[in-house]
Amino acid sequence: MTRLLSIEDLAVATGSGRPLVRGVSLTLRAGRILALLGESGCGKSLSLLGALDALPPGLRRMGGVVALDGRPCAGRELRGGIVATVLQNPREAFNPLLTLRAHARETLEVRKAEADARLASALAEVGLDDPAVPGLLPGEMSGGMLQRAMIALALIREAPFLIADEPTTDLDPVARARLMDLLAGLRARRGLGMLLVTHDLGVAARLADEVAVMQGGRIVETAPTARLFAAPAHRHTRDLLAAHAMLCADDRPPAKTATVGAVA
Amino acid sequence: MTLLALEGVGKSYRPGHPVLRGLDLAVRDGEWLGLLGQSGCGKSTLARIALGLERPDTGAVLYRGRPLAGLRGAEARQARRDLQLVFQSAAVSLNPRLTAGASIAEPLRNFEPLDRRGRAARVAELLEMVGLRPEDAGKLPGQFSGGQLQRICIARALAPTPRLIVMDEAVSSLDLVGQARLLDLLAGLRRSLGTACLFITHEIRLARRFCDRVAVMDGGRIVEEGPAAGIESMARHPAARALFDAVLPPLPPGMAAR
Ligand SMILES: Nc1ncnc2c1ncn2[C@@H]1O[C@H](COP(=O)(O)OP(=O)(O)OP(=O)(O)O)[C@@H](O)[C@H]1O
Ligand SMILES: Nc1ncnc2c1ncn2[C@@H]1O[C@H](COP(=O)(O)OP(=O)(O)OP(=O)(O)O)[C@@H](O)[C@H]1O
Ligand SMILES: [Mg+2]
Ligand SMILES: [Mg+2]
Repeated sequence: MTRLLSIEDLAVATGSGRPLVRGVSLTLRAGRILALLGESGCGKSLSLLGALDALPPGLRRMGGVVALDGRPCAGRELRGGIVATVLQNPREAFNPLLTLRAHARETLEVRKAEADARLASALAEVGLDDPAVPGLLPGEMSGGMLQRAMIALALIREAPFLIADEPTTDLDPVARARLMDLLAGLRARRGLGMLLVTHDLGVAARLADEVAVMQGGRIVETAPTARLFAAPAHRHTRDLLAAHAMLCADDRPPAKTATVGAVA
Repeated sequence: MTLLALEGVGKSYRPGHPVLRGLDLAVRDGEWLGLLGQSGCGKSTLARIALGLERPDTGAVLYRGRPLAGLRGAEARQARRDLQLVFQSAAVSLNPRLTAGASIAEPLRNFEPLDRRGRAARVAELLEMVGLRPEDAGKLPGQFSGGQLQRICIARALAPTPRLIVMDEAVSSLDLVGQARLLDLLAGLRRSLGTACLFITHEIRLARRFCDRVAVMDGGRIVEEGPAAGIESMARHPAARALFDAVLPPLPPGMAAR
């Protein structure tokens, strides 16, 4: 079984050679969740797209190695079967003329009835259990419905790795908490290895084993989650945590929930 | 004074599945109203109806006390200028073949008596306001990140100096520092110009920090409404409680908040 997906020294530049991403190294491990944080425009999406050889026209990957259990491989070998992907803008990722059911049948290449059944159960897992949903067109779904539909479609192939770019931006707190539980369950049951790009530090705190922080096209800090929150080393990490703390400062004091103090 | 009011608004897309069911909601001049609700509950539908982009099946939208749908000529034009919407998905709400500058200039062309130089200067000013650079005016949507696209959409909505800006998850792709900066900017406009905001969001903490009042939607109606401060402890309705109780804690499990 696949255990390790490593991205090493990745660089992305414009056609004229202006660097947008430099020296990015990230390691995904089976059963582990890595969160990638960083301010808007710092190069998170381009890093993912670069690693998967899915850059938009006009941009080039300038170097770097992506390897599966140590064996270098091209991004297009990974997409779909080995790495399931959830892109940042769900509405752009769908064909507006195809229902969700048609998308699933196209993705899965199995008998229709089986594709339909697997879609239904994946949709139920992300909280879209209304039987009308598989028959909807993308334009007939709300932002959060589309985001969850995209996650469901990514999960039905049962790839060993998942790369998801801001997968919770359009989800309400209940749907978000439910997705957190689903992903934590997949990590435990199936050993799914994940890279989650998120600006929600609550998501990183709840789910990530390790956090990488990016700024200006480079990774500036990588640390186990508890250490990153307790003792951020880089200035940029401290700024992000300070903004997060300020926003959370007016929270109601937590009810009887965990204040165990296991971490110093 | 009430700026915009929805009265008894009903809407369904499929027979037997109403999205809005006799919904009432009012935004006062200069007010910031936060709108929360489960995904799929009808917030974006409400936003489109509030701006007259979609017709309600029943009920009415009133702009300064007069039915929006009945306005004609100069009054209709003024309402179109005064009410601006920042759509939920920035990437698809921008024309991929127009530069950022051209998209932002579009409302200026319609509503402001500016020549080309004047428009270019105003576009540059708007780009800087939302945290982009004037030279970004020449780039196409495909050359921006998710958060940068949201900034462009906000600049476009601010261009005609609206009285009410409806923000539908309009800062959802920005990092926290960027969100706070943009909302501080809007709060500044509110102080100087009295710009009101209907702030549709899943981020309860942002609504609490920036809004005066918060309303919660469920089952096609507003089920909870009150001052933003302390909304989490006051809410009674089960749908509102469920949202507030599900907010993720700020720190990893086992770490106490200081
Ligand atoms: N096609 C392109 N041509 C030129 N520059 C680009 C192109 N696409 C993206 N960029 C620039 O590259 C930088 C990194 O973009 P990227 O989409 O990776 O950011 P991000 O970290 O994902 O941001 P966000 O959190 O806002 O989505 C941005 O400054 C963006 O303007
Ligand atoms: N054009 C349409 N045709 C058919 N159904 C639609 C259409 N637009 C919206 N709907 C349905 O209306 C309901 C409300 O959608 P809406 O986009 O208003 O929700 P929302 O509250 O904005 O959700 P989210 O928080 O996920 O963005 C959903 O069930 C959706 O499927
Ligand atoms: Mg991005
Ligand atoms: Mg919506």
